[in-house]
Amino acid sequence: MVQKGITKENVLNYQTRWEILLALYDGKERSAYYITNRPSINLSISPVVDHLRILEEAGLVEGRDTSTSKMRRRHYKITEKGKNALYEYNKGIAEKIKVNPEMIDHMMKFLGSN
Amino acid sequence: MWWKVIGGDDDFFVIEIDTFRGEKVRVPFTSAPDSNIIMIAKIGGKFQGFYDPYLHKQATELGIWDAVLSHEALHCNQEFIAPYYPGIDLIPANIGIQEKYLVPNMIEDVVINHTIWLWEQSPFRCPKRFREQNLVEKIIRYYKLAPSFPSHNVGIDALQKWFLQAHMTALKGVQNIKSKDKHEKGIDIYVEDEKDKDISSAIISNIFRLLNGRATSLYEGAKHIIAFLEPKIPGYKSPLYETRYKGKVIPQFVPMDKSIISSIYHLLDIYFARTYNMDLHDMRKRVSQLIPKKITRGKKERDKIQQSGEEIHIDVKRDPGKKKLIFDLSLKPIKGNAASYFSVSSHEKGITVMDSEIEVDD
Repeated sequence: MVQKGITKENVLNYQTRWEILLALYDGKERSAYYITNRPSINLSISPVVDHLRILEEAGLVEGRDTSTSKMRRRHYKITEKGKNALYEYNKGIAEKIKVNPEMIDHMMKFLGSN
Repeated sequence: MWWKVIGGDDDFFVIEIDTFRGEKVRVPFTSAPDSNIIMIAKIGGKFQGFYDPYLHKQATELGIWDAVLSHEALHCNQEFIAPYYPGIDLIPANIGIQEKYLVPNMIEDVVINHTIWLWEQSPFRCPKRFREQNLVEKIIRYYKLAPSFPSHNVGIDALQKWFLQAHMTALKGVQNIKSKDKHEKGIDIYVEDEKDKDISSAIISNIFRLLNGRATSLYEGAKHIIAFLEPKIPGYKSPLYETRYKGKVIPQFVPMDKSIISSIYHLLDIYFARTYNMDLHDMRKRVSQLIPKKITRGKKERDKIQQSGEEIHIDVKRDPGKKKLIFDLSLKPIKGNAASYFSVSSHEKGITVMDSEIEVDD
């Protein structure tokens, strides 16, 4: 289910959208099918298309209709705004770490072998 | 190469990593000025990398930035289950004085990481549910992605040095607490002087003797990887693996056994006792005094301690503004069906995590 109440600030809080931007970060045009097949995105094509639509509305990706007579299709590409959004999002976390170094301890819980 | 940068600038870039599982993982790296870290963490299910541009600059000057990133990239395997590489994870913390410890050649990073990876898969350290399936095959596949640089056979030697350093760091952290209590001058964390070097050489050769015959190397041109064999059957070649890998000697994933680890710790304890000019028994006793719970081999008591979930945290802070070490030494029971030790983990805030196991006798 796609998140409601999406704003510019929280659009990347949803992990799938963040992963989609990363998948598109190399600047190449990709189809929703390609994105669905990324191991980090464990979703069927329908919600991925929904997320792409949200990202497109936010201006973070741009879509291009590449339909053929036999198949409806759309390809997506990350925009500069999208790259900046990804940077800003991660920068925000880096700032939080700086202000609150205990976060690193918390993160290390994900690294633990116990 | 098992990772590549796919875009970005000085403040932000994304690397794509080929994992052991043959998947491609993309991780954004964001600069975090004055954070004193180079790390990959998993936050909210997302792999995210952070780096202090100051450390980036230093690493670049030393020509080891790629090696550091390679190391970080390896963290993305196995969902961080085996992330603490003693020694390796200490590297970025003291990057300024690391020339003699750091092997600025990525192949060495691969060798050591893989070797320790195998060790981390030990039933003594890693509960069964976390162990990677078909590990050897995955490592062989991954190994083929390793950069092909001329290399020399320093893998085991480097591992021993780092192993030694990791253990030493933990114990010195404890020792440092003791010194602090007595208002003594703090002890330098790293062994650098000639005296120590002499002692460590002797210890290292003993450790080498313990390991010798239990490790094998795979060669392919200039590349090599060292892995431990079944300790009880040194050099044994499995017909199954021989067929599968065309007669190459393939490590049959069974890492060091417990008695070898204990022996190494024993040797290291001797080394520390000599370093501190203490009687071995006294040194162990003083260490154990810092640990209220006695750790024994008895299963019942071990279970009892594990169930109690008791944790002891010791903090040592040292000049954070000058990028000096801030030690956070914690002792906590490993909760796992196979783990029989307590884990002593220590990390220098931000950059490094060193996880070692220490057995403390009465």
